[in-house]
Amino acid sequence: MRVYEVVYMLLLSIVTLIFGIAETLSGIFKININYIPPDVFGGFALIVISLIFLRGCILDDEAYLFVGSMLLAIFGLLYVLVILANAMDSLISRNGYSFAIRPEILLLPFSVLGVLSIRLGDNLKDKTEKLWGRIK
Amino acid sequence: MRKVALAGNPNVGKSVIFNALTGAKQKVGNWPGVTVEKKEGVCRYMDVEFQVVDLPGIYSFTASTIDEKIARDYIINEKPDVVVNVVDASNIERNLYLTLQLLEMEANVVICLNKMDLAETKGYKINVKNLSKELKLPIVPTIAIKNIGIDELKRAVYFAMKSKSKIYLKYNDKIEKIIYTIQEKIIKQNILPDYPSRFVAIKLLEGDEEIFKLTNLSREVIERWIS
Amino acid sequence: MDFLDEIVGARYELIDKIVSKSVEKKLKQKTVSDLIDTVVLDKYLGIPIFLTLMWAVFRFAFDVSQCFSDAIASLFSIASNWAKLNIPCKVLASLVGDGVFGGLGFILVYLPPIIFVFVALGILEDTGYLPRAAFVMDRAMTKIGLHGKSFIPMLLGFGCNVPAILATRTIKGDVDRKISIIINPLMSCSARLPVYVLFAGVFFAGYEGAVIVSMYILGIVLAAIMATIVRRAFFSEELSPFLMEMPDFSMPSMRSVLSGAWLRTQIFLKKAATILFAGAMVMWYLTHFPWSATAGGKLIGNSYAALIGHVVEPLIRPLGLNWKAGVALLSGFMAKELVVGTFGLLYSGNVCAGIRHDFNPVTALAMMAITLIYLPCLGTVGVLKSELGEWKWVGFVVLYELVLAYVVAGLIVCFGRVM
Repeated sequence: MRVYEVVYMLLLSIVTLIFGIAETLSGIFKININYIPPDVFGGFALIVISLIFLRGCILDDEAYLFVGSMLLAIFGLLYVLVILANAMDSLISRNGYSFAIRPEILLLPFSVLGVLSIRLGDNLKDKTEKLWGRIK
Repeated sequence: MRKVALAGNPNVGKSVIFNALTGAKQKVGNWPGVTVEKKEGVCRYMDVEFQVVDLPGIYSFTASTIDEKIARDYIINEKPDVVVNVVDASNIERNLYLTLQLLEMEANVVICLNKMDLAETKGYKINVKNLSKELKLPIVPTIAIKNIGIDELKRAVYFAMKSKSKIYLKYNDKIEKIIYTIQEKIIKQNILPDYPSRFVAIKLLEGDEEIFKLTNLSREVIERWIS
Repeated sequence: MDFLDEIVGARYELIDKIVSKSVEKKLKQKTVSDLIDTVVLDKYLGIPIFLTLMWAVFRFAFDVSQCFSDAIASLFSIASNWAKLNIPCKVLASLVGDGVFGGLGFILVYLPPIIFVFVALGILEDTGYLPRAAFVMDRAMTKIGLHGKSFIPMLLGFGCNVPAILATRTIKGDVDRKISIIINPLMSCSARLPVYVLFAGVFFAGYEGAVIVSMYILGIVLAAIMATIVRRAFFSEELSPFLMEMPDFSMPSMRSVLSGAWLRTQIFLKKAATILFAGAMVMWYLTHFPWSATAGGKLIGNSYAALIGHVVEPLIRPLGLNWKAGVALLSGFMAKELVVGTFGLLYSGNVCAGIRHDFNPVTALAMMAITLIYLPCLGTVGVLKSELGEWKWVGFVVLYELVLAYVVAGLIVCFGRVM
């Protein structure tokens, strides 16, 4: 694995850990922090993702970057979907419209980059193409 | 109508093969007595039509699950003219385990070596000709999801139907000797004459409860025979 | 003297010989599937990753489906009001307005989360993740006397217990299979979801997700306990070894996921048109008759439903539940969706306020737990019979569920009082 990949993974690990702990704590103690929803399980999910990145750094294995980023991206997309659904909901019920931007959404570009990195890495490029190509 | 059964491990693309062989002419029902789905269809090649039955996907014929029992009973009792054994080319060792057991049951086997493309991606290079020679069986390589090799498979089934042959693959000498001893006793005492004697012998040695029940034999008797 | 090992060995020996002569293996290349496997099967992270994914599934199923539920709810409330105002015959107006739109409609409100659960489970199944989850859970499962493989039917039980119980067929060994079937009704199927959504929404706003998930976890924990007990009590056999298929990961195909979900939806709609419709009609009759005594459903305390409810009330009174909960639970035996449908009828039109009046957070939890545990629905009983074979075992399942439901609800209420 290249140095910049390890650094990237480490950075993601730290960021997700901070957000994860923040979400969990604000969920338990009901503290209001901007952009941090009180969400115990959501925080747990972020901490798990952080541990995946950390383990990837320790084992020096790009697979962890790929899967960790993928999970993070899944949550990011999920929360975007939730925002869209809430918007539709407020249209239907004509209630006020409020939406919460979550850290997972802000991290979306970075997680997508993490997923793509595996495709860009030259030693795996043609093999991934073969595999994804076959699936389509 | 001649009968063809499809046998193979789960997830080898058996149902894709089934659909490719039978097209739209399918009938879905249940196996007698149980609620396991039974798919039947008709396949045409040249001047003959044959009935194709999709057996449940299994790893072996020990009769320890309902699926295994259904497949085993079908092959033993209904004696299909040809058994198409769908083998995952990317996982050949484990799949051939079922093939060997089909041969123990004296089935008339045609191997459909499916997922050839995946085997290649995984880095396997399969010499089909050699494999066919070693197994003494006709082998048709296919990529079922792309409909490659289906016509060849039909042709192989067609020819296998015309020339039925029993194939024995010998295991190591030590176990063969024991199998032979048991087989001799079975034939002499006319035990389960409708069943292939080699199959019965092997199952008795494996300690198969079902066969013990059918033959009214016990482990002690088998041990006495061997010693 | 057993020759099984020797014969198995002889077969593989021959296979080795054959394969070595005809198959050449290049150095195994890592595919994307292998990459994913290294992580999701990780010794330490496997189970946390599984839990994380389940959380994603729940968020998807509940939060994203919310707007569809609200749309259906407002549609039916408009229809219900229209029917009550515009149909001249009072009884017919109530039948259509309260029975059909109020009762059956209140069930259909929960169709979106049910479909979304199936979509999410379908995606997990299609990617090939389920066997991995089973593998990861194997060690924990072995401790409770089950295979990792039994975990797949358990997960499928979150959709519907009927196909989940059918899925136990792949489990080797009669005993292992039987135990998997016996505990499967404890897996919280999507029909129980409406009750959770309703009660969690009223009493635990802001924490609905956590409360609902805790119900699912409660189901899993109870299943684990029951599996241990059943194995210890009835079977002495050891776990049989097993082989698990790990197909490659693949991108879920939208077509197969959606067609699977569509199939489920059709089944649900068929159920809604038959058994749920009939159930809603019966419950409408019971809550609105005798017509004059109840003043057309306004004085529900004089209805037949109240009569029946008061019979079972002494049983559930210690749990802090009243006769309305009793009637709703009774109706749930036909199909668990009817529990919310009955609430819709009992609190005609104003379910949330009614529930807030009759329950408190503790009894709401107890009610949710009872709905989770108390009885397998008719469909499940049917498939239990066909798969277990003997009525004796079906009876056992029904009995242990009833007892367990009572005990768990009792514990919740006791614990709530102490707090």
